[in-house]
Amino acid sequence: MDSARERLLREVMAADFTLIELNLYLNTHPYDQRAITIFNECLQKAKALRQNYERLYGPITPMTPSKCPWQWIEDPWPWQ
Amino acid sequence: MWVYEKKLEYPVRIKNRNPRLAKYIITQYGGPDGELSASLRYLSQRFSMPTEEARATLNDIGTEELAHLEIVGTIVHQLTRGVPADVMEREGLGAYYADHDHAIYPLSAAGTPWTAAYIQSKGDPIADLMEDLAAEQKARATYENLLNMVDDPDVREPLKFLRQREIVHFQRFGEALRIVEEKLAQKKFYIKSPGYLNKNPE
Amino acid sequence: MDMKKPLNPMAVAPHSFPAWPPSPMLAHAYVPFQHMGNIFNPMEGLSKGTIFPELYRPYGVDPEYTVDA
Repeated sequence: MDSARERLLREVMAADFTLIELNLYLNTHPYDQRAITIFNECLQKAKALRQNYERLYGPITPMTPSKCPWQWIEDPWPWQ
Repeated sequence: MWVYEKKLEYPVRIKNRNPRLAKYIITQYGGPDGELSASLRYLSQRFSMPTEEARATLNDIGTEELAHLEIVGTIVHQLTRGVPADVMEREGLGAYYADHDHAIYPLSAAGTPWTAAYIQSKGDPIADLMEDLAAEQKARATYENLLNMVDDPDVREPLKFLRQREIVHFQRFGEALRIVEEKLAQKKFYIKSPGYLNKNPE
Repeated sequence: MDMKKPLNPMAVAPHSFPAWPPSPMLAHAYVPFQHMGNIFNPMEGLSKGTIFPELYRPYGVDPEYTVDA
């Protein structure tokens, strides 16, 4: 994986991690309006980063449009 | 159901192979306090949780533990990838190599295959959440033991991440316990648990 | 667990749990409730393993979380 791709993927990881943390927090603090507002804002940023990454480098989940051959199977897989 | 995302939760890029470390780190894949135990424990317990907050917490932490399982597997894979058989043997992975080559197989540092005896799903929400709190502490302690044995920063970084996650998970289970305790103590809140109603007729 | 004991009506506010329960019971364990303050930015949060400064406990720094304290 080249370094530009890696850097972009790290930004996606970081944005998604923030969402996971807020998700777990909100599961036990469902009435925290401020946290929900922050979550919704972070979600927009994370979606934009993800869409940009997928446009350049291919799918993060299988449920995205594909060219031929089927892009989902392409290396690298996350453990490589 | 589950959706898979083609990225790790935390990046793992190990430059130097080290089968000796892999032998110990694999315990967080298939050992008693590892990520497989955590995921199956929480994903099994979630069915019998009595409040939405607890159901969500068990569900989502259980899901995150699967992502951690993947990270640990990746670390072990990158530490052993392409290592010749004689080096595997010299570094203590001879028995593992004989049965598994360079595959990832769930067992403990001592070589015990994973077993459901490592987990409980009691159905009693207080017992289950207390077990979950203990599990997070055991996992944290194990990561600290591993960090005490690892110098390579490429390996230390993901281990430190995973250790910090256990601390956060402990906090969430503690909050879920608070919520469950409060709701169980409210007489007007009916928990759909026939066993409980039979034991304590109102 | 004594299921018949009436709960202090002030103990449960659905919109915010107090850090500590007003009437803790014997033979029960309690973890204080977190109240979110500021959060780390995404890159910092990922590298630390949490976005919450109050939950950040690096190994070797906090004596509570250090083997050789």
